[in-house]
Amino acid sequence: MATDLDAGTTTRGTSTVADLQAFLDGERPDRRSAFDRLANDARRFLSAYLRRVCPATELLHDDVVQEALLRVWAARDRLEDRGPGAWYCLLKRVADRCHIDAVRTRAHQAELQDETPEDVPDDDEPLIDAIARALDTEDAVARIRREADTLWLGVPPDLSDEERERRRLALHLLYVDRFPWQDVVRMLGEPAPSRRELDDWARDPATIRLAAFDRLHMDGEALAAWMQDAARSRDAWSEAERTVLAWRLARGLTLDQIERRSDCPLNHGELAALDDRWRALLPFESWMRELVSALQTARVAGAPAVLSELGLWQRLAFAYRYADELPHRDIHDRTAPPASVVGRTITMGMLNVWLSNARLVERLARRLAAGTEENCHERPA
Amino acid sequence: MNDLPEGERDLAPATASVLDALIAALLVSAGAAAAGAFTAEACVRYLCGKASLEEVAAVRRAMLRDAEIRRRVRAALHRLDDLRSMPWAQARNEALAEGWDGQVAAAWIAFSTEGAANLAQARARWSGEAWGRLHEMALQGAAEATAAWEAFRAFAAASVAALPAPAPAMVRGGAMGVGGLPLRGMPQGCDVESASATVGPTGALAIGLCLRAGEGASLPTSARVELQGPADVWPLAEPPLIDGALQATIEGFGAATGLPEGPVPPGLVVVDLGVHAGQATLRVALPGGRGATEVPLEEPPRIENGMLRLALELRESLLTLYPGSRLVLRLLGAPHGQAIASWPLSELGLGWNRLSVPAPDLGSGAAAALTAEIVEGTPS
Repeated sequence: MATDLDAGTTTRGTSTVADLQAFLDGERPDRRSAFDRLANDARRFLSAYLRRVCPATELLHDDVVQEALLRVWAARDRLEDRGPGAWYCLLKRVADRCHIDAVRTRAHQAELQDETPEDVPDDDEPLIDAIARALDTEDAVARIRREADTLWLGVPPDLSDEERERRRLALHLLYVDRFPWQDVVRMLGEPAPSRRELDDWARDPATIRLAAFDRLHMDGEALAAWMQDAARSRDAWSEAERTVLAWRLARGLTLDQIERRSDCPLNHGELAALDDRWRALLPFESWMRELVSALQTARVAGAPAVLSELGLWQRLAFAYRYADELPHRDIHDRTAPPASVVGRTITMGMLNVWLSNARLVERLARRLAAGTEENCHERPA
Repeated sequence: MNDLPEGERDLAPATASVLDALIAALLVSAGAAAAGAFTAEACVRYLCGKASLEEVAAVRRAMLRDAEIRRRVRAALHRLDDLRSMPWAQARNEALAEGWDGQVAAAWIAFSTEGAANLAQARARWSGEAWGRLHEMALQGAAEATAAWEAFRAFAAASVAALPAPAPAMVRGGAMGVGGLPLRGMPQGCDVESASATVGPTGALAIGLCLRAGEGASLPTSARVELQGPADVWPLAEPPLIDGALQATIEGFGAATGLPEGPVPPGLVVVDLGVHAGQATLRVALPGGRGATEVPLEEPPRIENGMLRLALELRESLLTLYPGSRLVLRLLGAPHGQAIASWPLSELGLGWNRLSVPAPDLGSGAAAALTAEIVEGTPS
């Protein structure tokens, strides 16, 4: 194929459903541009898929994705449009075959999976299709976050993102900072809430869980920056340690990946020691103590019980796994200590149950799919 | 919400991996929600209710992220209260200070000066153009006309939201005209025969006023129609009175204010009969919600080389009614305005007073962004 599939910069202007129709209709003049957009999405999807099912062959993934897209393009006249669910199942199938071929070709036999990859059962395709359609919107990411907040934190689904922010902020200003309510009203901006509204917002269990989630979920870059600052008042990091911390936290590399780098400035023992050191500095437990203490000082009844509910910890596990792609152990390090403050035990076993076999995602996906069906039902016939 | 549901069949591993990858592909590539920079400028605009959507999001997210930012925003809130009431020259000096306080002061000086300049320009535009023409130009997208139109719309929205405002009929020397049209500065010995302010089917505001002079009284020959805001007025028109009768039509008024066809809410539109054609005046708000009075000026106030110069005539009544009070000059254009300077009335004399104080350069029409008030007591 003469086209450059590495471009990867096409901006999506239409939906997957519309692009599939254009791509699979041989008469359409915009067939090629539709495929370019589909290929951009497919690249992200297949990379995420391969990282999950065959992490050991990470170095082959880019080639596998490229080869899979070439094969799909080559087969374009034999494909039929059966919706986005079938499209993603097809991509998975083709990528599985390309992966096997690549492993064989590169003589990585030892890393080849024991079993031939399974296809998605026909019964499950409608579920994937419903979810793919539900996410086939401009604001898909915001929608996932909102649905996750509703599912696990109990946030009312009709509450706008702005209102969620204002309520969380109200809690911080009133209870954590203990500013006078008159100042808080002015700091929240228009429309100004009454004092009663302020109290209702800040004491609402959903707001309390949202505020805790906010405090306890920190992306890698923010955590890396925090670590650099935190160490200033203690033992300063060496230049080499700073470099490794940036790889580890901001770029999300595992210790193995760092150790394999030719430019890694630390040896195995130093890497392990550094890993222990930054883990010991993680701030989440002390932040949770501060929040609980602030809520208790403000006499918010039952705050520890609200914070010990599993939903909050599942929401955190979901965010750390799917937005930050952390391994289970890292998620455990960020959730178990603060959970213990409110009497909740989070074990590696629990995380495995939640995160393996996509149990959390399945719940969210079914919710998204149900929402789509509801929306469809609301449309006039 | 709390736990995984029991009894739901497990997904096939292949299905699970596709779902997993679908969600991860979206979330990982999205990253964290983008947050703009938190700056003193954004903070000041946020606290004044004038921030863009991006700035609002940036300030709120910064506050959520960092307790130190929350402390800074609160400090800025109180700083703005102080800055608004201190003389402009002092506020400008505060802006030279280092640190967060200095940054807030600098941002406020820039923000309030820009607001005042825009307001002055917009009002100058209003007085220089016919209403209908300005509306038409705004609809066509002419930048200056659009800015002027939007400035008036914002003023009108605040005016309508503040209803019911203290009726200017309570103004000293004022009277509630027939039909809910308050009149200010009614000459002694004159009566109102009829008065009305109505939005017509095309959205035009029609003002009708008919005065009758008693024996020995003389009818006024000029008037100013004003939209009454929460703390200020916006001049709408200066029609002549011919034999005590005034007729004025203001096209596009309904569209600008959002008022429906019918009588204008009482107190929203005021006719000032104390205005003499060609006479420059300064509207001075009186303390305790007692309305306002017009103080004659030798000429419209002007700001040259960073100095505001004005000559105003104080009458005995003002000096004797408010002993121990101050005359405060303020710049409009930003929420709650910015003080320019204040003088104890006891230090001002009867008759003409020539005042000169540092003020920001606002370009032409500075007078339109200037207001004055009598404030009881001395500054704390």
